[in-house]
Amino acid sequence: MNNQPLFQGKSIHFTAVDPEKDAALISSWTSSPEFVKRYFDGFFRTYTTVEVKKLIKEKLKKADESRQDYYFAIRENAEERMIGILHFGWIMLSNQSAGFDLYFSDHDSFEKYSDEALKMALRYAFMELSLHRLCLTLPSYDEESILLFERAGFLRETQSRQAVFYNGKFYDQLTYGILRPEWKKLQVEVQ
Amino acid sequence: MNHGFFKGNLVDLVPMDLDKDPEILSKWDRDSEFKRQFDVVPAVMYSPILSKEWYEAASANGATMIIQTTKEKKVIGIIELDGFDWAARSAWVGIGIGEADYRGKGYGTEAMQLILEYAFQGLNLNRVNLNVFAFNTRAIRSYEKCGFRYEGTQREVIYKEDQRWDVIDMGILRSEWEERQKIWEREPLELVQAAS
Repeated sequence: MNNQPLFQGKSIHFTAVDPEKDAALISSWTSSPEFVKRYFDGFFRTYTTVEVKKLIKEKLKKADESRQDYYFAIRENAEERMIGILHFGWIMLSNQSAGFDLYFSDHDSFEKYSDEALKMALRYAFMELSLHRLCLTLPSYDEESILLFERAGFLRETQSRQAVFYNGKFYDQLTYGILRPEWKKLQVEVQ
Repeated sequence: MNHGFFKGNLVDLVPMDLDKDPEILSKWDRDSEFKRQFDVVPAVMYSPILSKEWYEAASANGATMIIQTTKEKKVIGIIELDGFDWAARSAWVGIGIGEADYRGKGYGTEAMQLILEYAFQGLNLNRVNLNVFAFNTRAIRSYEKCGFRYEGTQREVIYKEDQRWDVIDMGILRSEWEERQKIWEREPLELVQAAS
C-alpha cells in the first residue's frame, strides 16, 4: 500500500478538532456569516465559547455514530495554530459520492495553504473514503475559491440563481464537482 | 377576506392523519420504482411506526403534507418544503406520488403549484430549489410545467444498477412565478384537467 501520509503535508497537517482546546478560537470565527452558515446550520449570529464547545461535541458524536460526516482541523506545521476546518458531509457511501467544505479563518492562511490543504483533502476523499465523486457549493462572489477549485480540476456543474444572500445582495450559488477518473488523470500529469 | 392555502381542483394538501396514513406510506415502500425516484439513499422499507416517526421528524424542520384527491379524499402522495434559508429566502421542495394510478395525470403538478403558492405568497420566499434524477423525465416535465428552470447537472451522483446517474438541479424565482400567475389567471386549470 502507498504509505504516503494522509494527514501530514509540507507546511500544514490535519488533526482532530478538539472541542476543549479549539472552542475559543472557533467562537471568534462566528463573526463570519459564511462560517456560521456552513458549520452551525442555524441562522447567522455569534456563538460563545461555551456554545461552540457544546455544538462541536454534538457534531463529533453524531459524525462518529453515523459516519456521514468527517471533520479535520487544519493546523500550521510551525506553530500548531489552527487555521481552518475541513469537513466532508452528505456522504453517501453506497453511491460513492460526498460533499465537502474547506474553510480558512483568514485570507493570509487561504493564500498560503489552500492549495496544499485541497490536495490533501482530495487524496483523502478518493484514496481513503474511496469516493467516485466529490462536490461543493460556492457563492459566485468568492472568486478566489472558484479559482482554487478550478485549478484543482473541479468543473462548474450547476448555477442556482439568487440562492445566496450576502452583504445585502443576492448572488448565485455554484456547484463544483470532480470525479475520481478526472482526479487520477491529473495525478499522472503532475508526476 | 382570508385566503386559505393548500386547496386545489384535483388535490388538497393536508396534514397527515397519524392513525391511518402511516399504513399507506408503508405500503408505497413496496414499490421500488417509487423509492428509487424519491431518494438517493438505498431503497429501504419502513414499518407504519417508522413511517410515522419519519413524518414527525420531517415536520419538525419543514412543511410536510399529504397530497389528497379532492373528490374521493384518497391519499396519493407526499410533498415537503424544507431546508429553509431565511436570509436568502429560499427552500427545497420534494414530492412523490406513491399511488401509481395517479402518476402522470396532473395531480403532482397541481400539488406543486399549491406548494409554490404557499412558498411565495405565504412564506415570502424568493426562490424554491429542487433536485431530480436525470432518468425521471416525467417529473422533469411536471416541474417545467410549474415554471422551474434547469440550472445544471451534477454528474454521476448516484450509483445503482451498476451504472452512474446524474442529478439535475432546478429552481424557480419569485419573479418567474409571478409572471406565470398571469398566464394561469387567463386559463387556470383547464391545462391540468386536460392531462387527466
